[in-house]
Amino acid sequence: MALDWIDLVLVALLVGAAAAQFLRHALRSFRPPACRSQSSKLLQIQDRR
Amino acid sequence: MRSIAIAIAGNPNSGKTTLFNALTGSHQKVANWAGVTVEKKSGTHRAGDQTLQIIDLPGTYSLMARSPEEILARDFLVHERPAAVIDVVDAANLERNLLLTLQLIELRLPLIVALNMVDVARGRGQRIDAAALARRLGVPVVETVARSGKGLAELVQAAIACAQAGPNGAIAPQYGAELESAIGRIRAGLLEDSGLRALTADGGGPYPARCLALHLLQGDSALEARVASAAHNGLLALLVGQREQLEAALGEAPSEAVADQLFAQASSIGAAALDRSAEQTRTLSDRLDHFLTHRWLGIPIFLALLWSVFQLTYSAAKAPQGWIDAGFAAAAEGVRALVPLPLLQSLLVDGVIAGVGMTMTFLPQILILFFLIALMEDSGYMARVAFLMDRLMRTMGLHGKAFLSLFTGFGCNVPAILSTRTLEHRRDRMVTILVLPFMSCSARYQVYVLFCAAFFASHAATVTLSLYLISVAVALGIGRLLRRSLFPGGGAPFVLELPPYRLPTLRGLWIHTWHKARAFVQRVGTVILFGVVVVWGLYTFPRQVPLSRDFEHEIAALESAAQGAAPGRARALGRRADELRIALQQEQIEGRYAGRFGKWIEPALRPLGLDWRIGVSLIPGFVAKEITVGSMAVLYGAAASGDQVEDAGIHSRLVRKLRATGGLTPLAAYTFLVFTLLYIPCLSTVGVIQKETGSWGWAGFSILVSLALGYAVAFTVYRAGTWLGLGQ
Repeated sequence: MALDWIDLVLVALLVGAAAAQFLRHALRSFRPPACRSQSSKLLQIQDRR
Repeated sequence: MRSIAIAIAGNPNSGKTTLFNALTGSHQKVANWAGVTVEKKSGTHRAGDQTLQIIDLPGTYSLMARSPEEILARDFLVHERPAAVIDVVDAANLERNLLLTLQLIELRLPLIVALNMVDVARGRGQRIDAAALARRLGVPVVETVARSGKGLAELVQAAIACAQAGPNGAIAPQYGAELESAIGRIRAGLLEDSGLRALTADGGGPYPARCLALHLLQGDSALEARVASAAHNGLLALLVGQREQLEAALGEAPSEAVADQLFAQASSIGAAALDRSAEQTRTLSDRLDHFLTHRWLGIPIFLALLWSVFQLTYSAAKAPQGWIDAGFAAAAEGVRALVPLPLLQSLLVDGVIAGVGMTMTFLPQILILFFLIALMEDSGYMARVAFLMDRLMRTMGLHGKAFLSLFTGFGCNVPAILSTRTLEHRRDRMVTILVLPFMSCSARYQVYVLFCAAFFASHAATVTLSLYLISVAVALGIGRLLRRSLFPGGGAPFVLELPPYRLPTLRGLWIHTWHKARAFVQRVGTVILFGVVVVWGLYTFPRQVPLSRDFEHEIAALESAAQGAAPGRARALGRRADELRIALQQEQIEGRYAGRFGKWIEPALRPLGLDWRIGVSLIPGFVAKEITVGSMAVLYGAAASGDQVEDAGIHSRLVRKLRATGGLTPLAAYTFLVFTLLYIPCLSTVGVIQKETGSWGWAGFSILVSLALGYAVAFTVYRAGTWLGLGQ
């Protein structure tokens, strides 16, 4: 019984950690496009040409 | 210690950025220009007791304010009035680059010309008399080779001297009697109006009056709006009148007449300074272009190259893919041995290791693919493809420049949509944004790799190429439809420079590939990890599922009966027990959340020849397409132990399970690939469509159109294939 609970708590902790990692990444990606955006990459491509 | 601001202007490809990097080294700051995602780079350079603040302006062919880059460059020069401007001129393309120089002279700023890449020009047998050029332009000219640092010290000294001396360029470009008289009248109108005078240098404003008159005459709408808000109607009427008069007299719009005059002067100045006597008439690039941009051969050569890229990717990635696969399989065994807790073990092995491991096995493929694409880009070949595609793109209603965005879309749709900001017309942008989700991004490529290994092992490159062609055909077809219905009208002109072919540097290729690899691993560790954990949860809960019969009891009874039976009978009983085990597993899976949901959507998938497991794996694909393969690994139990197979890897096991238990025919597998290609833009793409179009309506439109189209095309493929007898 105790082992079942430990099992469940550990799984919940891992799922929580994965969710937190995902949210952090998602929030970072939804910031205004960084200066190294692809539009500037496109300009660099054009620059190279 | 004093600090002075020096701006670097120039055509794209003139070596502007190389010069900026050489001057500022690591003392750079990269940000965005306010309101737009065009890169703003600034940095510092120390010269004796002076600090130079260097600003790298976007590369432009003119200051006519047609594109965001041109508006930015012009507004910065006019409003910020840097202490000096370095105009980087590509010595190997002197005449075309001088067009911008003449426009910069009109701005009456302290100007220095950096005659860059003189080594390349010399290599082609062109000799430029810098002193003669300086005399003709009325501004100092310094020969530089930014790549090697040659002439940079002299350039900096000239810039400092120029900043101290003030505006130069005594020789103003001349536009012919008719244009000059119109410019004179508008200039007088500007100076007479007290509101407008304040905009000109004579009234303490930023613009030289002649330059403002010239830009207004050419129909600069941004400036016209500014003038309209500050002026009486008299000037606008004068402007319209002058434009009409000129158009009648010259037979062309004033903007075209001005461009012609500028070009004629640039050509004459260039020709006077240039000695072409030793010039090579036909370079290696020209000879290569004869074939690679050939009217009929160009596109077949491109397709053959693309096919070779896929073929090479598949064959070269096989070995490293096997190593990664074996590594994750060993990790799964290790976790199984070390973690006794059943739920935790299942999460780690059947969820995380199966899903993440499966996705990671595509790393070699992604690396090789992007390395080869970078090779095509850096060698200058991609510019030729843009040139080849221009006619087709135009016929289908897309702007030639949009090819670069579409090509970026092969990597990822999100940056590709952002890159459409370089398109000048809103209708060009809208059409490109709405067709971009159909471009086959690298996340979808992973699904192709998996399915090609399972169903089309000997034709993997051909099948992949066919999917890319479908993606381009659908994008162009939808482009044409949108252009004819929702966004009619002409497009902006497209200028494309074909640089000479060059040998890509290993460093450049490495940077490209490394960025892709890092981004891929980052996504696996965040988005994919969470996605597969969610799918694992849906696949594992509820733990207790109501069953139609007491399977365990029946299996135990069969096994005990088999123990005492004759060999033939024991085998039959064993088979029966195995059947019951499979039926038990089936009922358990179908009773869990993923199974219930899958069963619910299955009727919609049956007409495409697909089963519910495949359907469920498509759902998280909406969040990120890469989750699809990870989810399949979870749903098909790719990391499950106990099945007696010789191949131990997760990837190879999933391939085998897809073939054996998926119930898919090769035709259904191809239908699935077509559906995956088209069915929905991922969440990030939808977000960026909303942001760039400013409307949730367009984002919703994109989702609905792709769902309907994906279903319709996949259905057609499946039905046509069945009709042709390919459904077996």
